[in-house]
Amino acid sequence: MNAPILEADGLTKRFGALLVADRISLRLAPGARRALIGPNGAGKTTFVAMLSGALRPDAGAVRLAGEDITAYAPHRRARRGLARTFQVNSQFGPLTVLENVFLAVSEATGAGGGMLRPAAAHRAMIERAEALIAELDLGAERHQPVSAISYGKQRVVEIALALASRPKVLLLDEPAAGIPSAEAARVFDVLDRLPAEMAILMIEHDMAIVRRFAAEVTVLVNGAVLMSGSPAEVLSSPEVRRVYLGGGAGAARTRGGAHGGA
Amino acid sequence: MNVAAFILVYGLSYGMVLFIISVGLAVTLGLMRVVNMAHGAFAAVGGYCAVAMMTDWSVPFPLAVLAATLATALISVPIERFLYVPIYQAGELDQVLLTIGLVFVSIAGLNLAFGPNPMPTALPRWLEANVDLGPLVVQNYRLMIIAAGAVLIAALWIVLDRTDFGARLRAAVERRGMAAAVGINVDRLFTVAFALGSGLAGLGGALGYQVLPLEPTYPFKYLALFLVVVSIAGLGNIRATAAMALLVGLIDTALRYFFPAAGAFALFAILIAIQFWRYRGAFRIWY
Amino acid sequence: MAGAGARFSPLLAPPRFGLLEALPWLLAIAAYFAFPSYLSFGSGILIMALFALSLDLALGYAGILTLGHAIFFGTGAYAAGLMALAGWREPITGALLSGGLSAALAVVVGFLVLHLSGLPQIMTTLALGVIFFEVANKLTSVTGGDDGLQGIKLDPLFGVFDWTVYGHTAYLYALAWLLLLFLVARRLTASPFGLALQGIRINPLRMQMIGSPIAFRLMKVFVISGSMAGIAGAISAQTTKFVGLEVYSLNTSAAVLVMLVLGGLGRLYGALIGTAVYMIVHHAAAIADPYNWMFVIGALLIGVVLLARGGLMGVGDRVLKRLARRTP
Repeated sequence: MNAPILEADGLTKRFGALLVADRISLRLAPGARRALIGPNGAGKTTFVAMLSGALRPDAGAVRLAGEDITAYAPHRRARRGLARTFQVNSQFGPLTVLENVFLAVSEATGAGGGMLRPAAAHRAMIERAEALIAELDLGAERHQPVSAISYGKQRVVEIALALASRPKVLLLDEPAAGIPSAEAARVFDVLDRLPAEMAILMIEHDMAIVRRFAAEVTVLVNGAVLMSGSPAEVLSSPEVRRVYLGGGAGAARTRGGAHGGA
Repeated sequence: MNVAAFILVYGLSYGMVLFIISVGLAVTLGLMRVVNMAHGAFAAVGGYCAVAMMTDWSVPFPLAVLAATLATALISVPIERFLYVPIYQAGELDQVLLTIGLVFVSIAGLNLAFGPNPMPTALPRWLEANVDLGPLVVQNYRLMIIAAGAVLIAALWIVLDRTDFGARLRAAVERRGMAAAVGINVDRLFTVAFALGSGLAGLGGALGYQVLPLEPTYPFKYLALFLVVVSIAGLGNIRATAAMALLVGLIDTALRYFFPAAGAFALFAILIAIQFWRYRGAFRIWY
Repeated sequence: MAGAGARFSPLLAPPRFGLLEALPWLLAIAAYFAFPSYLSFGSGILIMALFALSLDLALGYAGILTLGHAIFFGTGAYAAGLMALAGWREPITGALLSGGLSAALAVVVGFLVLHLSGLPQIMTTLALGVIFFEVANKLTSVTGGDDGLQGIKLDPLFGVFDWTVYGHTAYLYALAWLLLLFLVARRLTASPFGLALQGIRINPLRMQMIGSPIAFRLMKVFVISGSMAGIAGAISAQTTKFVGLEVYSLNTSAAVLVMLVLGGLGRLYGALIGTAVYMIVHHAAAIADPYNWMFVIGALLIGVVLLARGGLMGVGDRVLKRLARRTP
């Protein structure tokens, strides 16, 4: 196995007396397609927050391409090639799709601080934004405010913002969450066409998506890794079934079911 | 004259007035999460009504204060329904702007109704009379305020901790969504709480009309003070607001006595220091 | 947020001076000739417009909630006044130096304020404003206290133009500064930096996640805004030849906020229009009664928040849209 592009090493986090992350270790190789599953409250989003820098771990380390980024602020990690989407839509609503993507491109290329030339004059960056928009099939909406387009298309913009920096590692938090079935195909299409060399970690509750998309599955329960393996192995494991799929507070569901936090 | 006794009595009475007025703001901020810059306007309305009743209609002080408090609470209901309800879910900026607009309107209104000059601060004879406490000779007025404040604190404690309404109010403050889900009529609760808070402000304005003299710019003039008390105490924390108001009254009076050069800004410097300490985590992450 | 919907759209409309944009400036020049007895009032509008413009950068674009922007205005005013009284009578350098001092102040204030948001941010800026006011009030030997700094004298502008009693030089001086700094603000807001500021206002967490060093960006705009406000204060001191405690008051901080919101946040021209409307209403209504104008302005403010989001500029947008729909 080649050197991992993203490495979590014993990440631990406590909120008061509650242990939400218990020495979680995980390795992502370049090109990985990993799903992170687990019952509600298992600590998935907390884990991703520690990877992206929104939360500092109490113990443990995060390494990106060998570099220790544990102490880095979120924007520094983003500049190093780590991108993240959010479970609840988190774009720049009043701004247009093009402006949203342009922002992501300009910050990724380090030109976001440019004060002298008008944004409209940065042809190269506009073209790069337009290209990404075209690739994601958002061309028709590119001059509309993001808040005005359909929810499904907003989720695609969410992914676009992460892709604009051409990241080495992409962290997706339930990318298809809340999308009506009719529009879900669009998001799946985007996921299928993601670059092969990009490492992807996806939090998911929907087993159909996990089966379709993931090459490897990691199960998180009560803040600790229960097991890791291929989708077939994990989803047929009796232990996983008992803890996760068997019912109770953490029952998995198929599309259209109730929505819970991770 | 015993200095300690002076500071104690005058500081406490000043603090009590601040408390009575600010507790309503603590409720609005804590419960509705509304940045209410117009809170001082309700205190002014209460004060003006009471003084006007006393001077124009010779209404005795206790009755005037009571009537003024009720009037303020009543006036607050349509204001809450029409102006505050739309901004409950709005951002802080919108709330600040609308309530500042309300302050402007109230100042103009007060001027229209009562004229630009400060209202008389003369006290009824029984309050003006002095009482010899031994270490200090003090007006009944000051003692009355302290007593009224103490009664109010006790009453609030009972209402909040011992009644159904209080329980519902505290529930709604802590978990609004949950409170609505278990059938608490949050809208009506808000209206009642707002009327309660504004009524208390009116009460404070009426009782304290000599401590905080009434003039048209009253709503704006003392706004910073009320906001500081509530901000340092922590939003919605009624007990802390009481403690903080009394502390502010004492410290401010002591400072004016010992360091008149320090002026009012010591209080605000403390606020900044406290806010910095409170959000030091955010500061560290920021940089 | 009031005015958040309407904003300058940099990628769609690269900044070019259209005829509509030239209108306010032409009006300002026309006023110079049409109202020769109102020039000092006019200068006052131009100065406050510059102040409101500085606030638009911080609040309208970057979303920094401040009820204490008078800190920078007042510091610029007192700095310029004291410089002139001490002997440095060249106006342009005086204004620049005052702006520089305000910029330095902005760095210090920034460290206290920029990492906060919401009510804590409002309260801290408000408290800082009160502190500055009280300190200025107490340091009577420096500020003149209630009496203020009086008898400020300046050298003729460019060595040629005298400061006449009627305010001809003052008006054009203020207008020139406003135009210059407006062009700077325009360039700034049309740049990627300007767009980033809007992003920070709308969703700071997301901005961090796409790689934006938001602390650095906010500090930059805060310093620029503070120095602009400082220059506005300096011009005020230089043209009115007086600096009073009012420059540090909460009234001033609140008034400039109201002016900006009335005109429309995040539109740059909103600062100009809102200031003009506010001050003209104030002037006209105050003739009858010193408090009447508060009624109108207060009602307008409530109206803007509840109905006319985007202030006067927003209303103007909607009118233009309707007209565009009607023309075949």
